[in-house]
Amino acid sequence: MDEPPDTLEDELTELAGLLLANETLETMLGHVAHIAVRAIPACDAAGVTLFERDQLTTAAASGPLVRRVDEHQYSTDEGPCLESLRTGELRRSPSLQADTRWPKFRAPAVGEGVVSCLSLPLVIGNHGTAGVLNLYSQNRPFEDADEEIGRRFVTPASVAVANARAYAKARAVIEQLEEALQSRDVIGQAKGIIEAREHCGPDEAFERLRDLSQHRNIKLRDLAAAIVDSPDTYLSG
Amino acid sequence: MTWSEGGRTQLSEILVFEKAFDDTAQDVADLALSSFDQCDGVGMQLVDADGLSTRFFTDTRSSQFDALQEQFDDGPCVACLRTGEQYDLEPVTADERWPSFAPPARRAGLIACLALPLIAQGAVIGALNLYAWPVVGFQGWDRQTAGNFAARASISLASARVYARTQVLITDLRARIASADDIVDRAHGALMALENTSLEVAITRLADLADEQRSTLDGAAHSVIDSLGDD
Repeated sequence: MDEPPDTLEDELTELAGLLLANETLETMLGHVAHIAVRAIPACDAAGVTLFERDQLTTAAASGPLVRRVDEHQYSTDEGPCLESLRTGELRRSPSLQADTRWPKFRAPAVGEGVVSCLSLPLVIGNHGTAGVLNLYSQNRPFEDADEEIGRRFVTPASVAVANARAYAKARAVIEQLEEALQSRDVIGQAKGIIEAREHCGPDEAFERLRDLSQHRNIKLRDLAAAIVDSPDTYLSG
Repeated sequence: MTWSEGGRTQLSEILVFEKAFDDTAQDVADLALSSFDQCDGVGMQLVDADGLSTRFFTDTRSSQFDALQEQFDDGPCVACLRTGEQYDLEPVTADERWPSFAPPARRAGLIACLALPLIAQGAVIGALNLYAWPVVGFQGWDRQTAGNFAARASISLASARVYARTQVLITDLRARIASADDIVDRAHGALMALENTSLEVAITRLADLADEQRSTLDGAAHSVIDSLGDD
């Protein structure tokens, strides 16, 4: 235990434990960006770009610079992030100023103070490239050593992002199902009220509820909730 | 004993959504075996929040060593689960610390054992037992590396369990939605109307009725709805 801590190992351990904090997807991806800044020496700012439904989005960033520079890539339709996404390969520019590969992106990015950049594709096994981890430096070039750390970092980062997305999706499904269940609960309760007040069966009660919903132009679920809240306002007798 | 780069990499590559939880846990046990060259077999016991435990093994012999510890309530794994600390069985025969477990385990060929606590978010979620039964030349455990493996494995297992819980909840919610029976909700509504009371009171009232009738909530709900036709 007396050995000096392996910083990269510590950062990777933190990456692996992302789900346990029970946070939103955006917060979890934000952690990935911040961990990248700490783990990769030349990195001053980092962001996670996701490609979903044909749309590129900076889903999380360590600071505002990332969103601005990413936006230059999206609007000029060129740059290391886009190329990394399209090829599934890492793209490094040790000196953006001297780089001729992306002329339209270069000028605005240099204008933002970016001197060097490194884009790492987030690839999950055979699930394809889900996004890109973009690293920017305003002080010194990303060198071979940075690239090497980046390569070691990107697989666990890809897994962490994939896990975070799967978990967020599962939580969204749970939320929808709970809402649906609540709607069903409230419709059942409204049916029971009508059954007791109007001495009818459940099918008749539901018909009555549907008629009322149509006449008053209120959604069935909203009407049911209103009846549970205040039966006399909506039902006579 | 070295913890191979491969083992480290594979632990951080566990996708929580790709397999059922038990399969992921089995992968972790298998990975422990392949990561430590002094290790001949692995047994892993996981405990959930309700105290239920699940066991995973890489082989029959390890399963028997785990079973022996459970049977005698004695041994490094038992102590490790109890205290959350590392315990071992050293490759010596004199001065045994585990008076019930060690003799039969020795007879079955066990040379050494290292029980590593699996801890996530401050709670002991299980124990990983590394067993060694080499014919000659046991070199000893590298406790720190083994501890690091266990720490990383704990995180992966806990994450996989968090995700697995969401899947159980989704299945449960879907089943509840799919069941057309809304008798309990209807009974709550009927009680509100009959007793001119709020939903909260009606919910308590139905639960009380179920108690009085020594019946289920469903049974009490049926009696309320059936009574509507009586007047």
